[in-house]
Amino acid sequence: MEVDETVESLGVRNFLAARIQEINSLSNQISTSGIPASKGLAFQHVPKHMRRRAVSHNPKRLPKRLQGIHRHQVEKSSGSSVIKKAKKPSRRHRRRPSNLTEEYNRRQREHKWLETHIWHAKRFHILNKWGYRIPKEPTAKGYRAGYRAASQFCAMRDISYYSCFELEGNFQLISSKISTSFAPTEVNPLSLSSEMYKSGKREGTFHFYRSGSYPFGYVGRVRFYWKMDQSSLFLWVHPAQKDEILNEICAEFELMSKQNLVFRRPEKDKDEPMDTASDETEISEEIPKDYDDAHIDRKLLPKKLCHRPKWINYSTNVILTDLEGVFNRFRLYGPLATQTLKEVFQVLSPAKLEKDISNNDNINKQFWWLNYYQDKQEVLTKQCELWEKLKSFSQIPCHSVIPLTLNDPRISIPNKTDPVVKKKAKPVVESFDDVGPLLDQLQSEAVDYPILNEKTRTKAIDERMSQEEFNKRQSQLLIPGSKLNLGVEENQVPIILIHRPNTASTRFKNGGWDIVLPAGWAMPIWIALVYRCVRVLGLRESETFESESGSSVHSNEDGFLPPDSLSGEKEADGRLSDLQINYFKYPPAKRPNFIKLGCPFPFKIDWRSLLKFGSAKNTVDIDSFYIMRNPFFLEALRNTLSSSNKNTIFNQDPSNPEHLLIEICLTIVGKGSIGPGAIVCIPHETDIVQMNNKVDEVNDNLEEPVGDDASAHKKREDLRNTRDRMKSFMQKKRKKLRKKNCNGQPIDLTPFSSDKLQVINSAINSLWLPDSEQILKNMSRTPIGAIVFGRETYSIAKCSGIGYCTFNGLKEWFNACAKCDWNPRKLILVRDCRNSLVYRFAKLEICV
Amino acid sequence: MVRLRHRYIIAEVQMEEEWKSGNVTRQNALMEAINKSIRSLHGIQGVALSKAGLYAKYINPSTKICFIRMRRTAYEIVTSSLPFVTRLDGQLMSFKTIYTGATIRHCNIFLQKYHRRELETKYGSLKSDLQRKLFEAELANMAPLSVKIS
Repeated sequence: MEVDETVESLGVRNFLAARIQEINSLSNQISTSGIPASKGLAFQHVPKHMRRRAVSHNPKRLPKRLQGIHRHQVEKSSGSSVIKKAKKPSRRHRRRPSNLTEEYNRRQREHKWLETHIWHAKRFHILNKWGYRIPKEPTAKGYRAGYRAASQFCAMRDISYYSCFELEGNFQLISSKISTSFAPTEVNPLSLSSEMYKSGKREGTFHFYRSGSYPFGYVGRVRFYWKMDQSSLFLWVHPAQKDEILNEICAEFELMSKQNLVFRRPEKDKDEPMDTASDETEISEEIPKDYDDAHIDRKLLPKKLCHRPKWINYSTNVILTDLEGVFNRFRLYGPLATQTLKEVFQVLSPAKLEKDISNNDNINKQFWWLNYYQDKQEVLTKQCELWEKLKSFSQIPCHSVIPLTLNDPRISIPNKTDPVVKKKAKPVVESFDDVGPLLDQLQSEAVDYPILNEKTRTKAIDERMSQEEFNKRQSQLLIPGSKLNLGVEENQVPIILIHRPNTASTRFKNGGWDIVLPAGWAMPIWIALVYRCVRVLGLRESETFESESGSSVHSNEDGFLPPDSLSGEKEADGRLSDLQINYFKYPPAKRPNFIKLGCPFPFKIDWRSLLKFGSAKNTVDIDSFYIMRNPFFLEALRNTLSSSNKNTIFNQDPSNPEHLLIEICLTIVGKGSIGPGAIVCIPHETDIVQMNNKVDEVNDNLEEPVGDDASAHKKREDLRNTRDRMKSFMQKKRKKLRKKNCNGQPIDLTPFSSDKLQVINSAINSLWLPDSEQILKNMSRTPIGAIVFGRETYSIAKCSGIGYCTFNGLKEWFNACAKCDWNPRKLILVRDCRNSLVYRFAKLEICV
Repeated sequence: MVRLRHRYIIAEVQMEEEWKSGNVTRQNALMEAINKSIRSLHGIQGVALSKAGLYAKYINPSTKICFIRMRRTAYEIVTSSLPFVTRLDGQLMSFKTIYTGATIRHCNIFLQKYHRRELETKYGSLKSDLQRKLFEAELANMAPLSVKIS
C-alpha cells in the first residue's frame, strides 16, 4: 500500500512541478505585456500598419497599450524633453473661485484653518499646532506695539481653535459627576452647580483632573457655562487637551460614540427637558434629513454643521456633542474694548423688529429672528437699554455671559478705518448707570440664548447673506459709499459676550471681552473690528501676556501648558527636539557648551530629576509630580513667605510633598535677564552680604565656577579621531570598488557607506549634552526650581519670569531666611544657565 | 501589405507514456503527423493551402501542451484534421484542443487559468494526506496570480 502511495505521490509531484513551472513562465510573459525588455523598445513592437514617424515627438501616435512603456523608456534614456508634460494651468485659471476653494479645502486636510486664516496669512507668520494653522506673530515684529494696544487701547486675537463641547443631560447628574471626578473641590472651590454658574449667567473655569487621580493627572483648564434652562453644559477646551478630556468624560458618563446621528429623531434619542413639542418638531422639519451644507458659502467652514459627532448614553440620556468649528471665539483686550464693541455692534431694536415683521411679505421664508423674537420683544428692549447704558466693562459683574442679537456688522463698516482712539476724548462719566439688575433681567428673560440653541444657530448660519451677494447689493447703491439699507433681509447675528475681569491688577490689566459667534460670521465681524483699528495679536501674545500677568492661573491665557499635564509634556518634548536639532546645526565653536556653563536642562526642564534632587536623601525616584493648585494652600504659603511668621504652613506638609511643585513668579532685582530654563537657587549668607557691598557692577558678580569639561572633551576628541579615520578608510574603499568595477554593473557600496558613521556622530553629540543629575549635585548653590518662561516685562519695566519650585526647596529656603535676618528682602538667586555663569538676585512671589 | 492574421490552438497531446523525443525533434514529428492527416483528408490542395503558416510555436513535453499556429485562412482545414491524428512518431496519441486564440498573449493568459483549474481538480482528487501535504509544499513555488480568474 505504501509503495503504491509513494509512486502515486511521485506522479503527483511531477505533474505539479511541470504545471507550476509552466504557470510561472506564463506569468512572466504576461506581466511584461508581451514585450520583454531585452526584446527592444516599445515602438518597435508596433504592428507594421501602425508605425508612424511622428512617434518621435508625439507619443500619442502609439497604440494605447504601448504608450506607458514608451514613455518610461524614453524618460530613462533621453529625459523628458521629448515628452511634453501637461501644461500647468495658468495663474488666472488657478485663481478662479471654484478652483480656489478646492485648493483651500485640499490644503486644510492636514491642518484645519481658522475662518480668518486668509486674513492672517497675509499678515502673520503661521504655525501648525494641535491640528490647526494658528497665527503666531505678525510679520512686522510688534512686541511692544501689541503690549501697548492691549494695555491702553484695544487688541484682539482669534481663538477659534479652542474646542467646544456640549454636554446635555440631567443637571444634577452632570454637575455631581463632574464635581466628584474631574473637579476636586480643593482646587475648584466653586463647583459647577454653585449659584453663580448654574443659572447660566456667568462663565466659570475649573481645573480638570483625570478621574480619581488628584493630585496627579492634571489635564487642563476648562471654561464652561450652562444653558439658561440648565439642560446642557458648554465646555471650552484647549485643543491640546481635547482628546484627553473627551476620553475622560466618555469613560465617566459611559458614553458610546454615535457618529452622524441623524438630526431628526428627537423623541427617541434625546431627552430635552424643556421640550416645547410643537415648536421643536416644526423647526426640525425645515432642516432636511440629509442636510448638506454645500450651499452655504463654504470656503472655510467645517464639513458638517448639523451632524456633529456625538457620544450617547441611552439609559441616562446624556449626550456629548463635539461642536468643533460651529462656534468662533474672539478675545478682545484693552480698556477701549467696550467702546469699540459699541461702535461695531448695533443691537437689534424692537422698532426694527416690528418694521421687519410688517415688511416681511414672504411668509414662507421666515428669518430666524422674526420667528424667535416675535413674542419676546421685551428681551430686545432690555438688550437695547443695556447696550445704551454700557460704558465701561467694569459695570458688568465678573464673567457674565451676555446674549445679544446684532444687526449685520458689514453694514456699518466705515469706508476708511475709523479708530476708536481718535474719537472725541473719552467721555468723563461721573457715575456709571447700574447695569447689573438690567443685565440680570435680560439674562433671565432671554431664557434660551439663540446662539446656544442648535436650530436657531443653524438657521442664522444658513441665512447669512453671502459676501458676494452683499457686495452686489452695495454696488447697486445709488450713492456709492452710503449705508446699505436691506430692510427685512438684513441678517441678524446671535452672539454671546463673555466678560473677563482684570485678574492681575497690579501688573497687566488683562481684562476684556470674549465674543462667541456662530460659524460663517467670523469674517464679517473680524473685518468690522479691524476697521476700528483693533490691533490683532498672535499666539505668541498668549505667552507674553501670561508672563506680564505674573501668574499662569490668573492670566486666562493658556500660553504655556503646565508641565504636569500630558499636553504640557508633549509640548515640552516637541520643543526639546526642535531646540536640540537647531543646536547641533551649529559647529561647536558657535554654540554654548552646556557642560562648562553648568546647565542641567538645556532644552527641556526635567522636573523629575529636580524633584529627585530636592527630595530627602536624594533617592526617591519621582515618577509623577503635580503642581499645587489649591488656592487656600497657596494663599497660606504666600502669607507665610511674605511675613516672617515662624509658625507657618511649612509645619504641616501637604500630601506627597516630594512630588510637589509650586508655581512662582520671579522678578529680577538689579541687572540681569532670565529666559526659559533658568535655574532658581538658594543663596548663601555671604552672597547677600556681598551683594549689598558690591562696588563694581560688572566684576563683583556672584558666579558659578566654570564646569569641568575636560573628560568629555577628551572622549569627544577620541571619537572624532576614530570617525575621521573611519571616514577616510571608507572613502578609499569606495574609490577602490568603483575603480575595480569599470564594466558598468551596479556596485554595492553599502558596506562602506557613510551611514555607518552616524553611530559615532550621535555618540559625539550626546557627549556635548550635560548630565543633569551630576550638574545639579555639583552646583555651588542649591537649585530648587526652574523658570519656564521669562522675558522683559513691560508692565513692571523689569525682567521677570514664571516657573516652578519644589516644595521642599521652598521650605529649605524659607527656613534659611527665617533663621536669621540676613535676607530681609527675601531674595533668591536665579541663573540663566543657557547663557551665563552669573547668578542674579530676584524677588520671589507665589502665584496664587 | 496587409497584416497576416493567425490562429493559435492550444492542444494537449494525450498519450499514455511520456512524450519521448525520438530520432526526429518533437516539433518536426508533430508537423509531420498533422500534415499527414491533412493530406489524407483534404488532399494535396489542403496541404498546399495550410502548409504556409503551419508551425508548432511551443511544445512542453512534461505538461504535453503545444501551441499550433496557422493562417486564419487555413484554420478550418487544420482543425478539421486534428482529431484524426493518431500517431506521433510511432506513439499512439490524440489531440485534445483546449483553446483557440487570435494572439499568443491570450493563449498564455488562458493557459495559466487552465493550469490553475487543473491543479484545483487534481487537489480535489488526491486520496491521502501525504499527497496533499506534498501538493501544498509544491504550491509555494508558484508565482502569484497575475491574471484574474473569473
